[in-house]
Amino acid sequence: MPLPEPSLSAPRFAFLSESEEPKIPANKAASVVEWIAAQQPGLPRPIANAALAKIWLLQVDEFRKSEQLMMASGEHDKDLTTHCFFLLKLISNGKLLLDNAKTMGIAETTPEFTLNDLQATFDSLQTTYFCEYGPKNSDRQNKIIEGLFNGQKS
Amino acid sequence: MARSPELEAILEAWFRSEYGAPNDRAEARAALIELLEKAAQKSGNEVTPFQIQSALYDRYKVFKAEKFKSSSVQVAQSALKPNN
Repeated sequence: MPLPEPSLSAPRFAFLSESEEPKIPANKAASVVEWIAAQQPGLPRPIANAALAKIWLLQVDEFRKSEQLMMASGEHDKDLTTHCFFLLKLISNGKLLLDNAKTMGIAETTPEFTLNDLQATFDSLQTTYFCEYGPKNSDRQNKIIEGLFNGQKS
Repeated sequence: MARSPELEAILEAWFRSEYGAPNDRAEARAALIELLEKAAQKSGNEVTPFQIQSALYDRYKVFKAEKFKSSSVQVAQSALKPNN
């Protein structure tokens, strides 16, 4: 009996749809790449940098999703210590990654992202840090800013 | 409360710079900075773009929460549609 033609719309696995595929936490994936890099000292640094950059972007995305969820549930401001801890970790890893990419190069990652996109992602994390934990504006500055969005000049 | 169009544009660009596709982040951030610089100029440069962003941060957090809630509602609605 001939085998039926595979259907293009059939899922790859009968028990999982695309959206239900098991997810690997980004930090676990990073440890795999770091292990490969350690096992293969000859691995070209630009390739290792590109792989680590992809994983770092996934970690940032996970962080942003959690941050948004916490804000939506009203829990964000109750757990700023954890938020600050993970934010600083991403910033320090991102700084190292960007410095390495700039000095040792990064393999081709377009159209997924460019070095400028990595830099912008890093800068947005820094902005979050300074907005949440940095020095606050004076009352006078806040009054001027309030006026900007109420149709007044100051 | 309704937001001014300038404020809405800043919050949207800010959100796009954090939640857009990675290959859109540089462009989104550049758009955000341009909007903040325009606002700073409107103040006669009495405040910096970053001071504006810092002052808007609490409103941005509310904006992010609203985005999350509206996307959750959309997901729930699409799950309830037949043949999904």
